[in-house]
Amino acid sequence: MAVDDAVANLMILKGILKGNDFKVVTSTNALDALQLFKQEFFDVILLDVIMPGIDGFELRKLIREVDIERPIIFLTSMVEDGSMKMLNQIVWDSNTFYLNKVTDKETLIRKIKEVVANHRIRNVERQRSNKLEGELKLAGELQRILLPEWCEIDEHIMASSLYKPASHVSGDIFEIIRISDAKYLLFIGDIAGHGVSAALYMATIQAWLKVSLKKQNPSPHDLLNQLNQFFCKELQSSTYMTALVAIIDFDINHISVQSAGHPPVFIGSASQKVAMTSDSSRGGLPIGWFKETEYLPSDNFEYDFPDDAIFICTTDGVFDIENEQQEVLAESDYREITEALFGDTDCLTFPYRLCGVLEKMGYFIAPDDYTFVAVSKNIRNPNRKQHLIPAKLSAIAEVAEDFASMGATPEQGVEIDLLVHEYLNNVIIHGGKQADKKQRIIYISIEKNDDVLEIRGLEQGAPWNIQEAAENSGGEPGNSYATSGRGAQILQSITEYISYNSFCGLNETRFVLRRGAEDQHEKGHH
Amino acid sequence: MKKDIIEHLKVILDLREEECGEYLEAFAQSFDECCLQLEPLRQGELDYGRLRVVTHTLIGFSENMGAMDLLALSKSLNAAAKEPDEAACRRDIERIFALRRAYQDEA
Repeated sequence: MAVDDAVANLMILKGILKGNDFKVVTSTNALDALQLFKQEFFDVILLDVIMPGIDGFELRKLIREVDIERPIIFLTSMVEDGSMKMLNQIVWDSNTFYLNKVTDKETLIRKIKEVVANHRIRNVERQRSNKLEGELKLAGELQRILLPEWCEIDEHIMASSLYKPASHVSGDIFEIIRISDAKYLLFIGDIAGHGVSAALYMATIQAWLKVSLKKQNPSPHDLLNQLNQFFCKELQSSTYMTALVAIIDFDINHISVQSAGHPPVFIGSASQKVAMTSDSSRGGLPIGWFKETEYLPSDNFEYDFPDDAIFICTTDGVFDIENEQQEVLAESDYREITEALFGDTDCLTFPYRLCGVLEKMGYFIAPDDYTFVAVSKNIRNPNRKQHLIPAKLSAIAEVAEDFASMGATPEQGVEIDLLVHEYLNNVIIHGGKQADKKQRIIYISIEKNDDVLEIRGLEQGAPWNIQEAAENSGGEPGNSYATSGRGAQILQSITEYISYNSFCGLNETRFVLRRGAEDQHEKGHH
Repeated sequence: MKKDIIEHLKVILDLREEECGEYLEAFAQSFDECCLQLEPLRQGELDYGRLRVVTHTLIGFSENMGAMDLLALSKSLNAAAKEPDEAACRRDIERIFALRRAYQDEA
């Protein structure tokens, strides 16, 4: 498209370009040109600079609002006149070029062909890059599906994980596999690199682990030896991985650990208030370095743990996390933070609180993948019920009914039922991230202590502020809380106390109810 | 001036004389439009900014069309507007209008 207020110039341009595979559309004013630009496809725009009304520079701005990359060639004689201001205005945009208005035919045609060809090449490259980006994103989502849920619970074990890939796909791997009744394998590894090849290795190792464990009752050194052979012989790999293998027996409260060049496991508990780590001087080289490497039984770290012990594992990407001053997280700082959290942090929130503390300290630039995994014994408690449910409305009724039985009176049972419905409806409907391929899961528990009932929910939906939601419900249309029906007022009217926290994407909501009938006037909200 | 334009078109666009008609019409149209913009300036107070915009257009298409007389006058008017020199501006405007009349007579 050629735009010039002088029809004579447009005629000359048409005449020059005629018979050179160009189709030329012309316009003598900027507004018509903009309209045409929105309606039709043009490879390049030839623009006059000075025009009455909207000039060439203003028209470029309007075009850039629609398309930031379409090549524009200004045809002007003013650059030749030594107008630096004009030249600076032209080159303000990297997709804008200029030619002297009275240039020769060959130069004009060559310039147009060159600009259009370059733009087309860039377009093809961008499309290719977008496609690759889309495929990587999908690969990342599929990889996430292969990994355990952020929370896993059964009658023996509670586990929580925070997985932070540096790009779409990652070389971090972790698995919690039940070997026999109360015996579990905890495996955490880090394949060198964090691209597609690392992700493919990760998926292969994961499949290998599941197949291998069906055949045997392994010990950490056995598993590492077999994995090293698989890596060196069958995969004939040019890469390597670090790994930590722990066999945890919750019947006898014993853990056996060995590391292959991987950061040690931290073990701490509220009762002992002392954190310890598996011995980092024991264990062997990373897997895949040498096929001759032998992982020895004497290097297994053996430990009898108390009931309330929590095991914290990570990948070494955590030690690459930087703050804004480009200082990496020191191992001693990591240890100090982890130890400090042991006193008052439960297993399920541990990885997220740890990440939250690091972010508060300014460590949030992660050039490598990192993962935190926390594991503890699921101590039987007759005064507690807990569920792990998919974020689906159909899953609510069963939980509500189960929890309602904890009410001191039938009336309180009804209130609990209502609370569970309101809360879960809220976080499922309004907290959803539609783009996620992986189904979200929600942890919810109810616990009875003396005359108090506490309902606790952990989920990874969009954050919400219950106080704000309550104050705004029924407000102006367009207010997200007003239209969301988040039920905050109902939740507040039922409960004595509600607390809400969010750490690194994990939302924790606690509702406290006084057991038995209470005078509504005595209820306070915080 | 018409002859100059035809000769120029023959060179830059490989046209035969009988193929130049629509180009001459386009030239006349652009010339008329510029004169229409000059008319209020000619009658009243001179707006030098406006004058420079019009002369830029005149310079552009007269050079592209090979109308060398008009090109020379437009450049002179543009320089006078830059000064600014009112007398020279008014003189060049009148000369441009005279050139237009001559071109119309020629056509």
